[in-house]
Amino acid sequence: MGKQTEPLTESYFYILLCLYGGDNHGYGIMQMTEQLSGGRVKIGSGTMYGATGNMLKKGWIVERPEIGGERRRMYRMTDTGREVFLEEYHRISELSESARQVIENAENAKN
Amino acid sequence: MKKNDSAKTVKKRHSFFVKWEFDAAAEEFDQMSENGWHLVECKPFTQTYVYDPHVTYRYQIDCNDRVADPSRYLQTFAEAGWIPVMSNWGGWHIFARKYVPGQPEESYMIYTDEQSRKEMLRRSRRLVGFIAVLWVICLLYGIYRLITSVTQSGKLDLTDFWTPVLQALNVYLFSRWCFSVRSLEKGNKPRRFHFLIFVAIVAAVIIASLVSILI
Repeated sequence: MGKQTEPLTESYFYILLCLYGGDNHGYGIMQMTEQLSGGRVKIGSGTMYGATGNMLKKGWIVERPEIGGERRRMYRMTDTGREVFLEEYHRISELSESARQVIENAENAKN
Repeated sequence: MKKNDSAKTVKKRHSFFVKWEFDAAAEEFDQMSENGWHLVECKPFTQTYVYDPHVTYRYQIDCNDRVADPSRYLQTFAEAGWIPVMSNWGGWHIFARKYVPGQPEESYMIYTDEQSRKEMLRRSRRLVGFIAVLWVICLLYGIYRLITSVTQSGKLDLTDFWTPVLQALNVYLFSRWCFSVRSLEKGNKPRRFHFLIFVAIVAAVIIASLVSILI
C-alpha cells in the first residue's frame, strides 16, 4: 500500500494525476492541471517545488534522467506513487458514489 | 531585469521590512512597478529600482531559509516565467514575472493552496520560535541575577538591571516575529512592525544604561 493516511490536497492529487499518463516537467504539470480542472485549480511555483520535493522524499516520484540534453527536469511516477494515487482515486469515487446515492434517494422521496 | 539593461534612471528607496512582512514588501514592489520602477536589488534598508515604462512586473517573495535543491528550486520558478531578483537574502527569495494585462492576479501567486503556504510559514516560524525560547531563558537568568544581586548586596547593580531590560526587548522582538507569522498562518494580516521605533527604544535603553552606569 502507499502508506498515505490523510487525503491528498488538490495540488498533490493533480500532480500525481498529471504524471499517471507519463513523465512530465513542472510547468507541464501546472498547465495540464489548469486545463483538466477548467482553470479552477492552479499550481504556483512555490507550491509545485514544495509538493514535488515532498513527493521525491516519500518516493512517490523520481526525477527522470536527462534524455538528449533536456533543459527541463522531468518527473516520473513510481509504483508507490501510483498506489497512493489509486487509493485516493478510489476514496474519492466512493465518496462521490455515496453522495450520489443519498442525493438520488432524497430527490426521489421529494417527488 | 538586469541592472544595466535599461537603467536610464535608477532610484533608491529606503523601506525596511522585517522578515515576516514579505506580502507587504511584494505589494510595494508591485506598486513601484506599476509606476514604471522595477526592483533590481533589495538590501535590508535600501531597494534599487530601474525605470522602464514599457513593462510591468508582479513580485512574489518566498521565505525559505534552507532550499534543499537550489537548482531544482530556481528551475521550477523559471519554467513558469519567474525571474530571480534576489535570492537568499535573509531567507527571502524575491521573484518577478512580467505582468500580462487581463491575466488574473491569482495567476501570479507562487503559493496556490493553503497547505503549501502554511508549510512555508511554519518553516520560517520554527527557527524564530527556538530563538525566542532561548531569549526567554536568558531573560529568566537575567532576572534571577538581578534578584540575587539586590538581595545579597542590598543595592541595585545597574549592569544587572539593564541586562534583563535588553533581554526583554529581544524576547519582545522574537515573540512578535513568531506571533506575526502565526497570524499569517491563520490568514490574518499582522500589524506593521515599526522598526525605527524599536531601534530608537533599544538605543535609548543602551544609552540610559551606559549613562546610569558611568554616573
